[in-house]
Amino acid sequence: MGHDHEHHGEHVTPLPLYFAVYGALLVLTVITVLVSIADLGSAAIYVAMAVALTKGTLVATYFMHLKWDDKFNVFVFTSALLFMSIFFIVTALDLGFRGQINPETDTFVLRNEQAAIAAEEARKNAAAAAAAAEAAETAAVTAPTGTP
Amino acid sequence: MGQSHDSHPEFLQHHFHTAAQQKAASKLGMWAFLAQELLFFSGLFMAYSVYRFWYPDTLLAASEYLSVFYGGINTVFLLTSSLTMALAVRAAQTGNMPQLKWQLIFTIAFACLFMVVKYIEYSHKFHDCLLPGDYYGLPEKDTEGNFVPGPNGGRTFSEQCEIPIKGANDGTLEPKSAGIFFGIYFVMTGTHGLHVLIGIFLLYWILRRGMKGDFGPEYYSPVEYVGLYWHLVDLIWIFLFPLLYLIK
Repeated sequence: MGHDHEHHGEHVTPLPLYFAVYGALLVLTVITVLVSIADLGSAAIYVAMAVALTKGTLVATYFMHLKWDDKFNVFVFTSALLFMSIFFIVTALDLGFRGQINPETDTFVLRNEQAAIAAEEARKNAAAAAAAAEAAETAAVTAPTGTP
Repeated sequence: MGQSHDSHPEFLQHHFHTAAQQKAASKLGMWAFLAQELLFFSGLFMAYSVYRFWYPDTLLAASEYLSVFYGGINTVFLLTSSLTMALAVRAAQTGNMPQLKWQLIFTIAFACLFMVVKYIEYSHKFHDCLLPGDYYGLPEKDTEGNFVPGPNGGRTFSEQCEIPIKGANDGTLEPKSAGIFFGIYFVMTGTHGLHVLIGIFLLYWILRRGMKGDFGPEYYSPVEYVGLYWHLVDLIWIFLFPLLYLIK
Protein backbone atom coordinates (compact mmCIF):
# COMPACT_ATOMS: atom_id res chain seq x y z
CA MET A 1 0.00 0.00 0.00
CA GLY A 2 3.08 2.19 0.31
CA HIS A 3 2.81 3.50 -3.22
CA ASP A 4 -0.74 4.77 -2.66
CA HIS A 5 0.07 7.71 -0.45
CA GLU A 6 3.16 8.42 -2.50
CA HIS A 7 0.86 8.62 -5.45
CA HIS A 8 -1.65 11.01 -3.82
CA GLY A 9 1.07 13.15 -2.26
CA GLU A 10 -0.57 12.96 1.19
CA HIS A 11 1.90 13.56 3.99
CA VAL A 12 2.09 10.82 6.61
CA THR A 13 3.30 12.35 9.87
CA PRO A 14 6.06 10.30 11.53
CA LEU A 15 4.93 8.73 14.83
CA PRO A 16 7.76 10.25 16.96
CA LEU A 17 6.59 13.73 15.90
CA TYR A 18 3.03 13.03 17.14
CA PHE A 19 4.34 11.76 20.48
CA ALA A 20 6.70 14.74 20.79
CA VAL A 21 3.79 17.16 20.22
CA TYR A 22 1.68 15.27 22.78
CA GLY A 23 4.52 15.44 25.30
CA ALA A 24 4.96 19.17 24.69
CA LEU A 25 1.20 19.72 25.21
CA LEU A 26 1.30 17.87 28.55
CA VAL A 27 4.37 19.82 29.71
CA LEU A 28 2.70 23.12 28.74
CA THR A 29 -0.44 22.08 30.68
CA VAL A 30 1.69 21.50 33.79
CA ILE A 31 3.42 24.86 33.21
CA THR A 32 0.10 26.73 32.94
CA VAL A 33 -1.12 25.15 36.22
CA LEU A 34 2.18 25.98 37.99
CA VAL A 35 2.03 29.55 36.70
CA SER A 36 -1.46 29.97 38.17
CA ILE A 37 -0.18 28.74 41.55
CA ALA A 38 2.90 31.02 41.37
CA ASP A 39 0.67 34.12 41.59
CA LEU A 40 2.20 36.45 39.00
CA GLY A 41 -0.40 39.15 39.63
CA SER A 42 -1.54 41.05 36.56
CA ALA A 43 1.03 39.27 34.35
CA ALA A 44 -0.68 35.90 34.99
CA ILE A 45 -3.31 36.32 32.27
CA TYR A 46 -0.67 37.19 29.63
CA VAL A 47 1.49 34.18 30.55
CA ALA A 48 -1.58 31.89 30.61
CA MET A 49 -2.73 33.14 27.18
CA ALA A 50 0.79 32.84 25.72
CA VAL A 51 0.94 29.20 26.89
CA ALA A 52 -2.59 28.53 25.53
CA LEU A 53 -1.67 30.11 22.18
CA THR A 54 1.46 27.94 21.97
CA LYS A 55 -0.61 24.82 22.73
CA GLY A 56 -3.27 25.85 20.20
CA THR A 57 -0.62 26.44 17.53
CA LEU A 58 0.88 22.99 18.17
CA VAL A 59 -2.54 21.33 17.83
CA ALA A 60 -3.39 23.25 14.63
CA THR A 61 0.04 22.81 13.03
CA TYR A 62 0.67 19.11 13.70
CA PHE A 63 -2.53 17.35 14.84
CA MET A 64 -4.70 19.29 12.39
CA HIS A 65 -1.99 18.87 9.77
CA LEU A 66 -2.02 22.53 8.72
CA LYS A 67 1.74 22.43 8.18
CA TRP A 68 1.29 20.14 5.19
CA ASP A 69 -2.16 21.32 4.10
CA ASP A 70 -3.11 23.52 1.17
CA LYS A 71 -2.09 27.09 2.07
CA PHE A 72 -5.56 28.29 1.09
CA ASN A 73 -7.08 26.23 3.95
CA VAL A 74 -4.59 27.86 6.33
CA PHE A 75 -5.78 31.22 5.02
CA VAL A 76 -9.48 30.31 5.52
CA PHE A 77 -8.88 29.19 9.11
CA THR A 78 -6.65 32.11 10.09
CA SER A 79 -9.07 34.58 8.48
CA ALA A 80 -11.42 33.65 11.34
CA LEU A 81 -8.67 34.78 13.74
CA LEU A 82 -8.45 38.08 11.86
CA PHE A 83 -12.20 38.68 12.21
CA MET A 84 -12.07 37.62 15.87
CA SER A 85 -9.38 40.21 16.53
CA ILE A 86 -11.51 42.92 14.86
CA PHE A 87 -14.45 41.83 17.04
CA PHE A 88 -12.33 41.93 20.20
CA ILE A 89 -10.47 45.18 19.48
CA VAL A 90 -13.59 47.16 18.54
CA THR A 91 -15.53 45.88 21.57
CA ALA A 92 -12.55 46.57 23.84
CA LEU A 93 -12.43 50.14 22.55
CA ASP A 94 -16.15 50.50 23.26
CA LEU A 95 -15.78 49.04 26.76
CA GLY A 96 -12.77 51.16 27.59
CA PHE A 97 -13.91 54.48 26.21
CA ARG A 98 -17.68 54.42 26.27
CA GLY A 99 -19.38 57.15 28.23
CA GLN A 100 -22.19 56.90 30.71
CA ILE A 101 -25.81 57.55 29.99
CA ASN A 102 -26.96 60.93 31.15
CA PRO A 103 -30.28 60.14 32.88
CA GLU A 104 -31.79 63.53 31.98
CA THR A 105 -31.01 63.72 28.29
CA ASP A 106 -30.88 59.91 27.83
CA THR A 107 -27.75 60.27 25.69
CA PHE A 108 -24.17 59.07 26.08
CA VAL A 109 -21.78 61.33 27.87
CA LEU A 110 -18.09 61.28 26.95
CA ARG A 111 -15.55 60.30 29.54
CA ASN A 112 -14.04 63.77 29.93
CA GLU A 113 -17.49 65.24 30.53
CA GLN A 114 -18.37 62.72 33.23
CA ALA A 115 -16.51 64.46 36.07
CA ALA A 116 -18.40 67.71 35.48
CA ILE A 117 -21.70 65.86 35.38
CA ALA A 118 -20.87 63.94 38.57
CA ALA A 119 -20.05 67.24 40.33
CA GLU A 120 -23.33 68.74 39.14
CA GLU A 121 -25.17 65.63 40.33
CA ALA A 122 -23.53 65.85 43.78
CA ARG A 123 -24.44 69.56 44.04
CA LYS A 124 -28.08 68.76 43.15
CA ASN A 125 -28.21 65.92 45.67
CA ALA A 126 -26.81 68.13 48.40
CA ALA A 127 -29.36 70.84 47.57
CA ALA A 128 -32.18 68.28 47.61
CA ALA A 129 -31.00 66.90 50.96
CA ALA A 130 -30.86 70.42 52.42
CA ALA A 131 -34.36 71.15 51.12
CA ALA A 132 -35.67 67.89 52.59
CA ALA A 133 -34.10 68.69 55.97
CA GLU A 134 -35.64 72.14 55.91
CA ALA A 135 -39.05 70.71 55.03
CA ALA A 136 -38.79 68.19 57.86
CA GLU A 137 -37.93 70.99 60.27
CA THR A 138 -40.94 73.07 59.18
CA ALA A 139 -43.18 70.00 59.46
CA ALA A 140 -41.92 69.37 63.01
CA VAL A 141 -42.71 72.96 63.97
CA THR A 142 -46.19 73.03 62.36
CA ALA A 143 -47.20 69.48 63.30
CA PRO A 144 -48.62 70.10 66.82
CA THR A 145 -50.95 72.85 65.63
CA GLY A 146 -51.60 71.39 62.19
CA THR A 147 -53.11 68.09 63.35
CA PRO A 148 -56.88 68.02 63.26
CA MET B 1 -6.14 12.03 -20.59
CA GLY B 2 -9.73 10.79 -20.72
CA GLN B 3 -11.43 9.29 -17.67
CA SER B 4 -11.77 5.56 -17.87
CA HIS B 5 -14.24 3.70 -15.68
CA ASP B 6 -11.70 2.05 -13.43
CA SER B 7 -10.27 5.46 -12.49
CA HIS B 8 -13.71 6.43 -11.18
CA PRO B 9 -13.96 4.69 -7.81
CA GLU B 10 -17.12 4.20 -5.75
CA PHE B 11 -16.40 7.01 -3.26
CA LEU B 12 -16.03 9.61 -6.03
CA GLN B 13 -19.22 11.69 -6.42
CA HIS B 14 -20.29 12.10 -10.03
CA HIS B 15 -20.00 15.90 -9.97
CA PHE B 16 -16.24 15.77 -9.37
CA HIS B 17 -13.70 14.99 -12.06
CA THR B 18 -11.05 13.44 -9.86
CA ALA B 19 -10.64 12.15 -6.30
CA ALA B 20 -8.08 14.90 -5.70
CA GLN B 21 -10.60 17.56 -6.77
CA GLN B 22 -13.28 16.05 -4.54
CA LYS B 23 -10.87 15.98 -1.61
CA ALA B 24 -9.73 19.58 -2.10
CA ALA B 25 -13.36 20.79 -2.29
CA SER B 26 -14.59 18.86 0.75
CA LYS B 27 -11.57 19.84 2.82
CA LEU B 28 -12.06 23.52 2.02
CA GLY B 29 -15.67 23.12 3.16
CA MET B 30 -14.51 21.57 6.42
CA TRP B 31 -12.05 24.39 7.09
CA ALA B 32 -14.76 26.97 6.37
CA PHE B 33 -16.94 25.18 8.94
CA LEU B 34 -14.11 25.18 11.49
CA ALA B 35 -13.52 28.91 10.88
CA GLN B 36 -17.23 29.43 11.57
CA GLU B 37 -16.88 27.44 14.81
CA LEU B 38 -14.13 29.80 15.94
CA LEU B 39 -16.36 32.81 15.22
CA PHE B 40 -19.24 31.11 17.04
CA PHE B 41 -17.14 30.51 20.16
CA SER B 42 -15.59 33.98 19.97
CA GLY B 43 -18.98 35.40 21.02
CA LEU B 44 -18.77 33.37 24.23
CA PHE B 45 -15.15 34.38 24.82
CA MET B 46 -16.26 37.98 24.30
CA ALA B 47 -18.99 37.58 26.97
CA TYR B 48 -16.27 36.31 29.30
CA SER B 49 -13.97 39.26 28.49
CA VAL B 50 -16.68 41.86 29.04
CA TYR B 51 -17.59 40.19 32.33
CA ARG B 52 -13.93 40.17 33.33
CA PHE B 53 -13.65 43.87 32.55
CA TRP B 54 -16.73 44.77 34.59
CA TYR B 55 -16.45 42.38 37.55
CA PRO B 56 -12.77 41.42 37.96
CA ASP B 57 -13.11 40.80 41.71
CA THR B 58 -16.14 38.51 41.47
CA LEU B 59 -14.43 36.59 38.65
CA LEU B 60 -11.41 35.85 40.84
CA ALA B 61 -13.53 34.91 43.88
CA ALA B 62 -15.96 32.76 41.85
CA SER B 63 -13.29 30.86 39.89
CA GLU B 64 -11.97 29.66 43.28
CA TYR B 65 -15.08 27.45 43.40
CA LEU B 66 -14.04 25.61 40.21
CA SER B 67 -11.90 22.52 40.71
CA VAL B 68 -8.43 22.80 39.10
CA PHE B 69 -8.09 19.04 39.62
CA TYR B 70 -11.18 18.16 37.56
CA GLY B 71 -10.36 20.80 34.95
CA GLY B 72 -6.75 19.58 34.74
CA ILE B 73 -7.61 15.91 34.43
CA ASN B 74 -10.14 16.75 31.71
CA THR B 75 -7.42 18.68 29.87
CA VAL B 76 -5.23 15.56 29.93
CA PHE B 77 -8.18 13.40 28.72
CA LEU B 78 -8.85 15.73 25.78
CA LEU B 79 -5.18 16.08 24.82
CA THR B 80 -4.79 12.29 24.89
CA SER B 81 -7.91 11.81 22.79
CA SER B 82 -6.50 14.33 20.33
CA LEU B 83 -3.34 12.22 20.03
CA THR B 84 -5.30 8.98 19.50
CA MET B 85 -7.46 10.80 16.92
CA ALA B 86 -4.35 11.90 15.01
CA LEU B 87 -3.09 8.31 15.19
CA ALA B 88 -6.46 7.07 13.86
CA VAL B 89 -6.21 9.35 10.82
CA ARG B 90 -2.65 8.15 10.29
CA ALA B 91 -3.83 4.53 10.48
CA ALA B 92 -6.45 5.22 7.79
CA GLN B 93 -3.80 6.93 5.65
CA THR B 94 -1.49 3.94 5.87
CA GLY B 95 -4.32 1.40 5.49
CA ASN B 96 -3.85 -0.13 8.94
CA MET B 97 -7.49 -0.99 9.66
CA PRO B 98 -7.13 -2.73 13.09
CA GLN B 99 -5.12 0.28 14.25
CA LEU B 100 -7.85 2.66 12.96
CA LYS B 101 -10.47 0.72 14.92
CA TRP B 102 -8.51 0.73 18.17
CA GLN B 103 -7.44 4.37 17.99
CA LEU B 104 -11.06 5.40 17.39
CA ILE B 105 -12.19 3.30 20.37
CA PHE B 106 -9.52 4.95 22.55
CA THR B 107 -10.63 8.39 21.35
CA ILE B 108 -14.27 7.62 22.20
CA ALA B 109 -13.21 6.24 25.60
CA PHE B 110 -11.31 9.43 26.51
CA ALA B 111 -14.20 11.56 25.25
CA CYS B 112 -16.58 9.61 27.52
CA LEU B 113 -14.19 10.03 30.48
CA PHE B 114 -14.27 13.77 29.80
CA MET B 115 -18.08 13.74 29.96
CA VAL B 116 -18.05 11.67 33.18
CA VAL B 117 -15.80 14.26 34.88
CA LYS B 118 -18.05 17.00 33.48
CA TYR B 119 -21.06 15.25 35.04
CA ILE B 120 -19.31 15.08 38.44
CA GLU B 121 -18.36 18.76 38.20
CA TYR B 122 -21.87 19.85 37.22
CA SER B 123 -23.43 17.73 40.02
CA HIS B 124 -21.22 19.50 42.57
CA LYS B 125 -22.19 22.90 41.17
CA PHE B 126 -25.89 21.97 41.36
CA HIS B 127 -25.66 20.75 44.96
CA ASP B 128 -23.71 23.83 46.01
CA CYS B 129 -26.18 26.19 44.30
CA LEU B 130 -23.38 27.58 42.13
CA LEU B 131 -25.93 28.17 39.41
CA PRO B 132 -26.60 30.79 36.72
CA GLY B 133 -28.40 34.07 37.33
CA ASP B 134 -31.32 34.01 39.74
CA TYR B 135 -30.66 30.35 40.60
CA TYR B 136 -27.35 31.27 42.22
CA GLY B 137 -27.66 30.66 45.98
CA LEU B 138 -24.34 29.79 47.63
CA PRO B 139 -24.81 29.61 51.45
CA GLU B 140 -23.29 32.61 53.22
CA LYS B 141 -21.45 33.26 56.43
CA ASP B 142 -22.98 35.98 58.60
CA THR B 143 -20.96 38.36 60.83
CA GLU B 144 -20.91 35.84 63.71
CA GLY B 145 -19.61 33.10 61.43
CA ASN B 146 -22.91 31.17 61.27
CA PHE B 147 -24.11 29.74 58.00
CA VAL B 148 -27.21 31.30 56.57
CA PRO B 149 -29.01 30.36 53.36
CA GLY B 150 -27.78 32.23 50.31
CA PRO B 151 -29.88 34.19 47.84
CA ASN B 152 -32.82 32.42 46.22
CA GLY B 153 -33.74 30.90 49.63
CA GLY B 154 -30.55 28.83 49.57
CA ARG B 155 -32.26 25.98 47.78
CA THR B 156 -31.34 24.04 44.68
CA PHE B 157 -34.25 22.94 42.51
CA SER B 158 -35.32 20.37 45.08
CA GLU B 159 -33.13 20.44 48.18
CA GLN B 160 -31.17 22.70 50.48
CA CYS B 161 -27.85 23.91 49.08
CA GLU B 162 -24.79 22.17 50.40
CA ILE B 163 -21.82 24.15 51.63
CA PRO B 164 -19.00 23.53 49.15
CA ILE B 165 -15.60 22.20 50.23
CA LYS B 166 -14.24 25.66 49.53
CA GLY B 167 -16.64 26.99 52.20
CA ALA B 168 -19.58 29.34 52.31
CA ASN B 169 -19.48 32.82 50.86
CA ASP B 170 -17.63 35.02 53.34
CA GLY B 171 -18.67 38.20 51.55
CA THR B 172 -16.19 38.04 48.63
CA LEU B 173 -18.89 36.95 46.18
CA GLU B 174 -21.39 39.60 45.25
CA PRO B 175 -24.51 37.48 44.52
CA LYS B 176 -25.75 39.27 41.40
CA SER B 177 -22.45 39.25 39.52
CA ALA B 178 -21.62 35.74 40.84
CA GLY B 179 -24.86 34.57 39.19
CA ILE B 180 -23.64 36.07 35.92
CA PHE B 181 -20.26 34.33 36.31
CA PHE B 182 -21.89 30.92 36.71
CA GLY B 183 -24.11 31.75 33.73
CA ILE B 184 -21.00 32.33 31.63
CA TYR B 185 -19.33 29.22 33.11
CA PHE B 186 -22.29 26.96 32.29
CA VAL B 187 -22.85 28.36 28.80
CA MET B 188 -19.16 28.15 27.84
CA THR B 189 -18.47 24.69 29.27
CA GLY B 190 -21.96 23.49 28.28
CA THR B 191 -21.54 24.54 24.63
CA HIS B 192 -18.12 22.90 24.63
CA GLY B 193 -19.55 19.77 26.30
CA LEU B 194 -22.27 19.62 23.65
CA HIS B 195 -19.53 19.66 21.01
CA VAL B 196 -17.84 16.76 22.81
CA LEU B 197 -21.14 14.81 22.83
CA ILE B 198 -21.66 15.45 19.10
CA GLY B 199 -18.02 14.39 18.59
CA ILE B 200 -18.69 11.07 20.35
CA PHE B 201 -21.56 10.32 17.94
CA LEU B 202 -19.43 11.31 14.93
CA LEU B 203 -16.55 9.12 16.15
CA TYR B 204 -18.95 6.21 16.58
CA TRP B 205 -20.26 6.74 13.04
CA ILE B 206 -16.69 6.74 11.68
CA LEU B 207 -15.89 3.60 13.70
CA ARG B 208 -18.92 1.78 12.23
CA ARG B 209 -18.01 2.82 8.69
CA GLY B 210 -14.38 1.92 9.26
CA MET B 211 -15.34 -1.59 10.40
CA LYS B 212 -17.51 -1.98 7.29
CA GLY B 213 -14.37 -1.31 5.28
CA ASP B 214 -15.37 2.07 3.85
CA PHE B 215 -11.95 3.60 4.38
CA GLY B 216 -8.44 3.00 3.15
CA PRO B 217 -5.45 4.97 1.88
CA GLU B 218 -7.45 5.90 -1.23
CA TYR B 219 -10.33 7.42 0.70
CA TYR B 220 -10.44 8.47 4.34
CA SER B 221 -11.83 12.02 4.18
CA PRO B 222 -14.61 11.44 6.79
CA VAL B 223 -12.03 10.14 9.29
CA GLU B 224 -9.82 13.15 8.61
CA TYR B 225 -12.65 15.70 8.94
CA VAL B 226 -14.10 14.22 12.13
CA GLY B 227 -10.48 14.37 13.33
CA LEU B 228 -10.24 18.07 12.45
CA TYR B 229 -13.50 18.72 14.31
CA TRP B 230 -12.20 16.78 17.31
CA HIS B 231 -8.93 18.74 17.39
CA LEU B 232 -10.92 22.00 17.29
CA VAL B 233 -12.93 20.89 20.34
CA ASP B 234 -9.58 20.23 22.05
CA LEU B 235 -8.29 23.63 20.90
CA ILE B 236 -11.23 25.44 22.48
CA TRP B 237 -10.78 23.60 25.77
CA ILE B 238 -7.10 24.65 25.77
CA PHE B 239 -8.37 28.25 26.14
CA LEU B 240 -11.35 27.54 28.40
CA PHE B 241 -9.28 25.74 31.02
CA PRO B 242 -6.91 28.60 32.00
CA LEU B 243 -9.57 31.32 31.58
CA LEU B 244 -12.17 29.68 33.83
CA TYR B 245 -10.26 27.43 36.22
CA LEU B 246 -6.77 28.86 36.60
CA ILE B 247 -7.29 32.62 36.82
CA LYS B 248 -5.69 33.92 39.99
